[in-house]
Amino acid sequence: MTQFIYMFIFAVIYLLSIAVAAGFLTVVERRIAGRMQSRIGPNRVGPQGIVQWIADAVKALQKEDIIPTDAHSFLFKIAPYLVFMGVFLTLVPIPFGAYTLMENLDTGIFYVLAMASFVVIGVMMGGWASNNKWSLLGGMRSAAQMISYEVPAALAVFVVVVMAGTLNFQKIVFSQGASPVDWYVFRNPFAFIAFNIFFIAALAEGNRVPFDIPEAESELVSGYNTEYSGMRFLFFFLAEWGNLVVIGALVSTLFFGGWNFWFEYTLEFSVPGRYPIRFEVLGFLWFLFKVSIFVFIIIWIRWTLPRLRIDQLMDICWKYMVPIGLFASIGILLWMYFVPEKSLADTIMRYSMTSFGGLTILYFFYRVFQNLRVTKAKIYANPFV
Amino acid sequence: MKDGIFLCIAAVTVFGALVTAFSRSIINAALGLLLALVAIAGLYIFLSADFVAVSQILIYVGGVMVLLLFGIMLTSGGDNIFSNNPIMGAVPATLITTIFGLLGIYVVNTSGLTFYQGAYRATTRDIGHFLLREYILPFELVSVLIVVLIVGAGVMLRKELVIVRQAPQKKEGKK
Repeated sequence: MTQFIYMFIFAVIYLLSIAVAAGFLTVVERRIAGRMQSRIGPNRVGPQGIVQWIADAVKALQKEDIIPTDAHSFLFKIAPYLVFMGVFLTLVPIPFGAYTLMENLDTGIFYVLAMASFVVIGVMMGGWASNNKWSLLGGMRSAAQMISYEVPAALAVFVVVVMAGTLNFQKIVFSQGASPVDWYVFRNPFAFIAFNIFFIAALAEGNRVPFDIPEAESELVSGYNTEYSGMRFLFFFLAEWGNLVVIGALVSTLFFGGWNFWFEYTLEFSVPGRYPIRFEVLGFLWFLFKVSIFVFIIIWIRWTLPRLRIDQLMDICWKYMVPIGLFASIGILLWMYFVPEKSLADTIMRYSMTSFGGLTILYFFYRVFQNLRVTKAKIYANPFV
Repeated sequence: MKDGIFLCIAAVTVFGALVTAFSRSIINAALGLLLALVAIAGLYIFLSADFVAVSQILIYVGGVMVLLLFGIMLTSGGDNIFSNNPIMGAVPATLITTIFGLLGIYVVNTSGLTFYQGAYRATTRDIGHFLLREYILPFELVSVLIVVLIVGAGVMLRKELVIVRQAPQKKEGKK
């Protein structure tokens, strides 16, 4: 009985933290968008507009809960909850530290892929129940897009599963090391391809730009959430921004070493009493740092790239990403067979991939600063306007 | 406590199945099916089959139900979607349910099957070992079958290259 009470308490804590994270991200996203478009963004409520999301939530709660007369009212009501549930359930097996996780599920990443299907059902329900042609089109497009992009995402996950030999998140983290050389993304070229495919497919599954066709404001009047108002509308967006955290967490766990901090996690530490609490906290912060970098990259992409057309979207999925994913998943099998771990070729490949990645990032900054020098642009580096 | 949760999940399963069978609205029937399928995943977890439960969600909720909902929502079946699910085939349905129910009771009573009583145990590792060692041949045969199905679907959906020769349009003369 006490076990169930603890489960309930932890579920509430997770729910509150994902809601706060999603709310906070709305402000962050709007501020970043403002900076990218040479304007200020919300900075009135609280210092630097940091509690804008609470004001938004209070406003949405006060709004009237409008249900269209011809809508299927039951489905219309439960659709946002289903979407949010699908996103929230994916957080269960993701480890935020050696012991900071809900349940160390053995089905791990497979479970995450399965729970995403609730989002598809919820979006379709919302679109159909609104009794609106635009909403129906948006819901259908969204469902088609999500189930299409599940295929390359699963192929990319397969690469990681082959390398780790397990579906369990915690074991995937253990089998990567703390240093960038041990991360899966820099292990071999196939894992690097898999990382790119997984990141793009996760963007598409999360309905983010450049894949936000289901919410295309200019053509579909915002798609499946056109008829929603007030808190139900916000639930869709809680799910969307919560999904940002989930994407960041998945990418950094699968490919970037997860919470694993600077030291090697050894068997000595697997006894709970022996594992120092400061390592747990530092690992948690390190994980949050990685997640926030990926969240920033996703927001950056959103305000940089234009939207794809529906046929281009399907072309990218089926004609490019699925074949490339199949290539990577066959390649990784050959690689695992012919290049044993810790052999000379493996070590050389790891170090050269890592230095290639590092040099790419350095080259990016070099180009940015050169452009700034050449155009003699004035830099407003201060983010607090 | 555990029994209580089991009874709740079983009740939800039966409720979903009843809605599927007796609802007059096809959309409600589909949603009852969704409820029953999700609840069956819960029953699998009670039988300590976590991998099967997750597969159930992935395949039935993520695949079959999405297809079903696509079919229902994109077609306007009949005049009113809320009363277009005719109750037909009551006699065959009763017959089939009775036969399979009696068969199930007979099998459970005679084969000595018991419910899983031990503690919950993760099964993923065992499934992997069995699939890739003892049952490698059936596993590979199933994967070949699935590849054939995917390729076949691709071939069937491929557009034939048809060259349409348009007849030269005649200009309508004035009367």
